[in-house]
Amino acid sequence: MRPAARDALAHALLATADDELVLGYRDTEWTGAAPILEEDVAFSSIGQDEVGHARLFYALLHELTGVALDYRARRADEYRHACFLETQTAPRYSPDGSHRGGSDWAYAIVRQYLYDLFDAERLAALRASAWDPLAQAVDKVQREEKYHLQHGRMWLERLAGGDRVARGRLEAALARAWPHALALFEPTEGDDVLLADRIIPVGSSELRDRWLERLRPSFSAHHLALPAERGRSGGWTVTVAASAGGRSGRHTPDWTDLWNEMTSVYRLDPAAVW
Amino acid sequence: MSEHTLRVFEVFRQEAPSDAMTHEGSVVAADMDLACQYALSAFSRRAEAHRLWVVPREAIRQIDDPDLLRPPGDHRYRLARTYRGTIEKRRRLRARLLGEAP
Repeated sequence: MRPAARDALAHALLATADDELVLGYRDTEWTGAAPILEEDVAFSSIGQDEVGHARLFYALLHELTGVALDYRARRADEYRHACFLETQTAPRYSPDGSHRGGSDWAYAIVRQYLYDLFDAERLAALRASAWDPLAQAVDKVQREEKYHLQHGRMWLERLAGGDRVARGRLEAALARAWPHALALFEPTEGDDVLLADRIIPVGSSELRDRWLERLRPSFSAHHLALPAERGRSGGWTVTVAASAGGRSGRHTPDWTDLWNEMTSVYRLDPAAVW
Repeated sequence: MSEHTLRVFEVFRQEAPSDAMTHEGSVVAADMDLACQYALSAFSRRAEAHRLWVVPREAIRQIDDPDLLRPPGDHRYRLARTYRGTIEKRRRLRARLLGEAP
């Protein structure tokens, strides 16, 4: 692999690992707060899977660069996840009895589903990588994603076909999600080199089209709008502007909060061995 | 999701292919598909199962009539206690035939 391709792959792996870490963390915040106890366990379990996948991608990054990255020992602007994933969706209950509202289960479900479909397409692309360790590692992750996709599809169907309240919440969550979901496809640095060298043989706009194509059957069955129009030839024109930034380290205030929390123990004593 | 739309599903787990299915507990869900998702996360999250069965509780017929379960008649003859005596008798007979001390 030429050095430019290695650098570009390192950027892509870091973005992938950070995506999984941050979404996994946010998902597990639903423990104790999801609609029913069973859903607490199911959704937190999905979150744990994502954190497990993050570990795997950090390990691949280590293998590629020879540098072991401590994921906590980074400034907040050194993370490359999409901003979509850092938004807080779960309520917060403090020991002092105060409660931070603004939680949105429909948004959590929509985000997970849109992300999982994006991730499924991304994994398919990574599996075709000319860099063998990556292609091999993806298989296990893909099998775990099956549960996530089933879970998301079931909830989407139930909210879409549910009563007016459920349907209304789903539509509001989707409308709010689109600009951020589309930013999942913001290219990482050197994206074109990866494509040229077949290290990741699917470019970001192709990936986005595959994602839209994958959303199309269920969204049209439930009369839900997509953020893009499909031409007669099958090509897509996106109608909502993507709210990019995450892939270059520009994040939202929700990330500052989460970064503070995620790294709080580490920052007490960065030299400590765990 | 309101309470009245939720149903109980009983979950059975088989740990290895040759094991019997054992009742593990139950999950509450809006329908069978979600119940299967919850059964997976509640009872095989750490890969403990080879197979799961998920059964709507209303599909289970309960038998709890004591007249049927523990009929009052003398059923000692069903306990096959005499077989235990037979084993002992056979041991003594064999010892006598072989000329050993019983």
